[in-house]
Amino acid sequence: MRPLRELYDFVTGGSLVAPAGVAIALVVAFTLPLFREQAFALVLLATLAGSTFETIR
Amino acid sequence: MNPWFLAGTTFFASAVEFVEAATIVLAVASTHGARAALTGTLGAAAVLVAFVTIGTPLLVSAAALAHIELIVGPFLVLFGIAWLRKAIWRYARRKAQHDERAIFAREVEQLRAGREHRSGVAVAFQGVLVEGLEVAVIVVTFGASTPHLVVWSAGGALAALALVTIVALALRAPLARVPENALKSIVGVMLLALGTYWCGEGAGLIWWFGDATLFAFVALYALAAAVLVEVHKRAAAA
Repeated sequence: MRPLRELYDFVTGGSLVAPAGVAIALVVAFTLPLFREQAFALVLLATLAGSTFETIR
Repeated sequence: MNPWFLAGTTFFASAVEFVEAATIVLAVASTHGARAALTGTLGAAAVLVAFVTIGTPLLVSAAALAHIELIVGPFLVLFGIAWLRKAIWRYARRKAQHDERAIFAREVEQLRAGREHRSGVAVAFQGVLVEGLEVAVIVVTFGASTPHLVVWSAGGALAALALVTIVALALRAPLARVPENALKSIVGVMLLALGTYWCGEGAGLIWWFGDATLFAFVALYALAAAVLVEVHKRAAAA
């Protein structure tokens, strides 16, 4: 499990919010009929903000 | 794609990581001699070069199955967020600043104690490999996304390597005066901007100003980071 955890931390920087935010942004980009660019950028912006409020290591 | 943007991103990212690697290598050189430090460093450099040389064409061929931007973009967004949030925490004093002198002193102490039976070569090898891996991943992803500009992305990393090596050899001391947090912020913003651009392009989005949208993202994320630093400062003070 530890190597998997280290790989996860390496890719995500230890953030749970970041991968979830990227996934939501992609769903938005693929499915929204209008304003896809704006919504995509806003979700990623919110993801950055949200991830900074996660537990500080 | 603006080649200077790619080269600048790999340059700054590499500069930060190589400064950290230089601290470890200098610690090994001061306790186990220059030969041990050089052997470990060259060994790790060979592994990293092999990783980039093999990884780039592998990723390009994998991209034949899907849009390369959809593989590379999310990685860069995640890396960018990881770099930027640490920099935000440090500016807001919610995380300790990276102190190269303190890390150097700690490494020297551990190496002299020798309780962990680590040889100097192994420590230098591991240090350079760990610090260089993230740079190698960034160079591979850039190389796969823009194969015609691979010279620029690899060139940025090599320029940083040359600069840090020359300065470290000249000073023979940890590069404590390098503004690491400022560099980390710049890299985080640039990686996020590139990741957002490529990720969106892979999802079929049409960016408003073409390549110039990258600079709009840089401004947007830099502004967001500045606001977040203030928010965290106030949260810490409250």
